[in-house]
Amino acid sequence: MSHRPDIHWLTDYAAGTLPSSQALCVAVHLSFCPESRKQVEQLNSLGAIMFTNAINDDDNLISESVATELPDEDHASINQELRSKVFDLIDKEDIKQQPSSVTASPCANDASNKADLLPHCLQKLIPDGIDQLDWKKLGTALSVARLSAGDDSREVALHKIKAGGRVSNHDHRGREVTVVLQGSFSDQNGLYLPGDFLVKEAGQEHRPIASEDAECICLSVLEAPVKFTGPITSLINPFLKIKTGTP
Amino acid sequence: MTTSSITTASLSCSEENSSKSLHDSVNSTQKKQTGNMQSTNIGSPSKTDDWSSILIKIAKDRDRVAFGKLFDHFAPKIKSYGLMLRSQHTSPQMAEELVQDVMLKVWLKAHCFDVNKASASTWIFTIARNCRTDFIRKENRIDTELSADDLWPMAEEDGPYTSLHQRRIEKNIHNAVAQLPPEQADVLKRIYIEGKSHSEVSAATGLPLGTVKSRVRLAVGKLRTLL
Repeated sequence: MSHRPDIHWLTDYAAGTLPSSQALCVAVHLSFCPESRKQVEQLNSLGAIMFTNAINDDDNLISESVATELPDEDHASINQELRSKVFDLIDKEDIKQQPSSVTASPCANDASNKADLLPHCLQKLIPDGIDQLDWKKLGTALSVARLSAGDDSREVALHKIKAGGRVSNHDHRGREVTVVLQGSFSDQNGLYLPGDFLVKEAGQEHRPIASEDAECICLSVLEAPVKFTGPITSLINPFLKIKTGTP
Repeated sequence: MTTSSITTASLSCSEENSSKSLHDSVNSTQKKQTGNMQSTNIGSPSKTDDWSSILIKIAKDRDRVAFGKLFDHFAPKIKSYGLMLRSQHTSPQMAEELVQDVMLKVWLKAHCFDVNKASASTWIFTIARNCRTDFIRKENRIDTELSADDLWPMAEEDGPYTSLHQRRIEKNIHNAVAQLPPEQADVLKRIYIEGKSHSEVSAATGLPLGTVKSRVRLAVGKLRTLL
């Protein structure tokens, strides 16, 4: 896959610091890209080492001699009460659940159970399939369906460009992250296939054209409204309507 | 899950083979030999045993003694992971709730742990990360169908990794982290433990974003050459 999130995106993802809407884009990309998945696994291992070292760093603040004199509870900072509480919790859970259902509870996400073949992380947001979404036309070639991904400061949506369709030239007032779900499109920088991940920074113009053979559906997350730069399309600029209070 | 040679000796061993952590773990094991300790024979730790065997034992036998050991080792780390989050919601109560959430999930999901995909500490780190993220989202009253487990799925069917291979990778990363220049380790710590994005690290340290980025690139690049 030629268009992948760079190491900074993947590190922020593995550390859990990406806003959920952008993490969603990375998660969708990962469902297509074994190479990035492998990298994230390594970054998770790195995280685990930072995690196991973090407490040791704190320990180092206490000199060895003092540490051994401290009562165990202070040193470990976990009191017996919390320990008992957790054991109570697992007792309750075990009573609640039949022994058989403990092992039957799901582990890995099973992405193959939907005819839609959407990546697992999108299935919750699009339970009835892409066609059932509330698509709004934004001109002849482009439609948009907003998704509710719990991010108030970003616009999360699917965009659909019809086969061979051209999206008006537009630039971005904020960063836009796009992942291709189906079909493909191209712009001046290259061709984007399913799973490809691209970031447009504020001020970068581009003019996507869907491939002739199929419509192209993308997930996009936008930090601020897009500004269309073509002559007519300013009338139908979708994101200006969405952001209340934005001129 | 192919590891079948789970011995009682494995219960006293930690993943890190440094003498310090072994000492700590044995120490705390001895101190915690309270009511629920049975006649388990605490043998000397051997190199092939680790927390992964304990997790497998928890999954297979619902073994509370094993779970207690895992708790004693990881709960302080989870608590400190909670306490070190730079957020307006960080508090000792929050950190203890995090310990509860994570340890409960470990108990309930132990059967999902696959030693061929990740080590026990990586698996527990990803659970702690997801729980911490969910906690912040809850505090911020973020309304969405998506949970952190949807956005950060557990390791999926991937590599023909063997647990040995996985362990070697993690050992390499471990050694490499120990050799990182302090300024690179510091940036990684802020990102992973304090939960700051690259730009937040830049804002907090006064370092230009480009410098933060190049430190991450250098650090991670160094790790990757070792894999």
